[in-house]
Amino acid sequence: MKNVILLLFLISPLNAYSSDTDNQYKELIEELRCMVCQNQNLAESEAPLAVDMKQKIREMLEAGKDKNEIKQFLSERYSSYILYEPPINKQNFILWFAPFIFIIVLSFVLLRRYIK
Amino acid sequence: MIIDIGFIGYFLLLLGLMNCLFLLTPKFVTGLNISNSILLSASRLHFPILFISFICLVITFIGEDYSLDYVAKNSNSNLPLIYKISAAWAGHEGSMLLWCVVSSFWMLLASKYSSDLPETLRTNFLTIMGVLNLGFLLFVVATSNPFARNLSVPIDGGDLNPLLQDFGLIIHPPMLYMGYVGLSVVFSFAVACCFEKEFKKEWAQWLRPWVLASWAFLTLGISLGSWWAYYELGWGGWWFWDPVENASFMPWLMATALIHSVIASGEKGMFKSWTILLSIFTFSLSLLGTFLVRSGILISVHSFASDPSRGIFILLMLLMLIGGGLAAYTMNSKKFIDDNEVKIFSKEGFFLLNNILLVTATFTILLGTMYPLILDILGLEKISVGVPYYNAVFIPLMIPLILLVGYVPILLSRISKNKQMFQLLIIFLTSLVLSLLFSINSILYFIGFFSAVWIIMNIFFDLFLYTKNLVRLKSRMGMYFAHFGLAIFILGASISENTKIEKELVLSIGETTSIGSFDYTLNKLEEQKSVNYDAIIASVLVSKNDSFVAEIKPEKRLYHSSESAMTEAGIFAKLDRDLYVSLGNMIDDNKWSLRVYDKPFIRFIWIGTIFMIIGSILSIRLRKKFNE
Repeated sequence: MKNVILLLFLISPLNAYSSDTDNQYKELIEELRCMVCQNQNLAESEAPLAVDMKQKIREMLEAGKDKNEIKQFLSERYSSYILYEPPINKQNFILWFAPFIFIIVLSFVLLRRYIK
Repeated sequence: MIIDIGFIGYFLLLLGLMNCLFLLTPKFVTGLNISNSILLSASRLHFPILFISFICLVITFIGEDYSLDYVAKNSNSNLPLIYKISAAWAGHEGSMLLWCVVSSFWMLLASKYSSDLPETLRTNFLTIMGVLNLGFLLFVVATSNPFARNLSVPIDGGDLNPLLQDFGLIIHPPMLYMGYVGLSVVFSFAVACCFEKEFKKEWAQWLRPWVLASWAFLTLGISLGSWWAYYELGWGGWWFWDPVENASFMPWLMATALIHSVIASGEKGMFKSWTILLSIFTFSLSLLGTFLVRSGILISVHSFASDPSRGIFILLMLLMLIGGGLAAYTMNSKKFIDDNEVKIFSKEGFFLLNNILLVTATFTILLGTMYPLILDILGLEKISVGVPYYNAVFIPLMIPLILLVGYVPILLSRISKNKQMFQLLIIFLTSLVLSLLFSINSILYFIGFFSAVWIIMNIFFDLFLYTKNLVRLKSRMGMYFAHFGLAIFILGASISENTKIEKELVLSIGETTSIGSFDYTLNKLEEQKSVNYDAIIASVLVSKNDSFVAEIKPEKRLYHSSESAMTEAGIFAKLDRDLYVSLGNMIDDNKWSLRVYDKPFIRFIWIGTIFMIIGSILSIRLRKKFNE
């Protein structure tokens, strides 16, 4: 345990190596799907299409577009299948809100049955 | 005379099928007065029969018997011996046979260690296990026979997928299957209890080690899979929320919930009906996972539709088991009457919260995995559900759970309320100060760090200051280890995810670049020939402040038979930091693209799981002695 705590003291704070654009780029390519791979994001993929798209994303960022604009642009072009974060719309309503309903119903059923 | 091993293997497979039917006769043919001995001997004979059949399959691989279709497709004469052996369970058919072998092994254990149970309960329990074994075996014989013949015999085989030519992947499937199928013991027992219309405390205690053992194997299997993905896929990730990963994670979460509820059932006779229901669902999720992975439905709905026989078989079996299990449950659920009432502010009350959170978490993963499939089947717009969804839905459920993990041991220590509050305050403040010191760059990071320190501090307070009772300490040792493992895992995940440095760059030979606090020099590239692949090995020298730290050797391999290029990452691993380099493409004669990852404390992720496994073993061993 001592060692673990000692180790904790050794962690160096995050280096301020990356610019804002760099960070945005990284976040983006991790949240976008490679359209020709099995189930990989753009960051991991080295498929030619993915490389092109990464280039395009970098250019758009450098041209001053922000994350949402780029996502918007890409999902219009390739359908929202490209987004790993499904948009909250009518079709995906259950996906986003069923967990809340589930936990409320489950809690109600279990607590009512067991807690006196 | 040439002995046809493949034929013997197939014969044994059919013999296993007969044995399963034999096992079921006592239940359905009345008037046999030797029924119990038939049941017992058949349930124990099943494992040796299938195991030898499986050995036959391995021998056909070693002997390169390409007259068997499965061998021809999954092996190659140039494969090293170890991978020829492991290729036996790398493809669909062989891995399903392995599943049956594992299942028969659990039945052997169940038959051997159930002599203390009442006669009818034991008979029903083993009969249900027999039905499951029969179902699995029918699936193999009818849709996935590894001993099926080729019409024309190829001179050389296909190949084992190069990604699978790796030690981690040799032992990953058997471990995972031990976990998945171990849960069939739990399922069978739960359904047998439904027939008894009772779930006694002793029965819950009997069931507990089986849940723990399955859980330990699942933990090991998932952990190996994640470790393999980390070093083999070349992008340094350890979890992607891929449907295949989710398929194993769902039963794991459910089994975690079950471990807690079965304690309450065993110690105080509480949550009887809930524990039974949870047992049924946990194994159902194992089967659902198998269906998703094995039917090909994950790759695309169309690939499933083109050869649906396997998928439909598993789906039918799934529906029959869940349907049968739930029917047995609903008919009798009213008859499970708890021995004690639950107070909200007690261990059991918190177990209930634990269960609510874990089951909801499982539900969200199920939803995220199935939703795109359902949309696709309905012909609606295809969507992807990935990391951002799970971060948004899964993590908020885990935070209260993790805070509970830390808090409950204090609650249970028999000290005055004032002292408890004081102790809690100290732990809270220390965790807060420590996490503020080290994790200031994101809220998620802060929460992860805080909860890990919170759990660890609580365990140590509990361990050193308040537990003087050796018997009690022993009985809780497993819990301490498992919870400590969870904390170590969270620590590794939060530190590595939030302070990692990832760079893609292009270096010419001799060029140096500085990333984080290290300098990386592309030193040279070498070609190397191996038995079944050619490799290009890069040498990357790492230094810090001009002093040498390590030489990292990432590889690019070209496998002869499949002509596919594979990346082998080079990793310089220390307890507190991984330096990870993977070789990209050649840009021109002496320029290469590289991925360089600096991942502090990522080892803690897998070290944490080792502690969890030790915890469950201790929990099986020590609690047993405690009971005696």
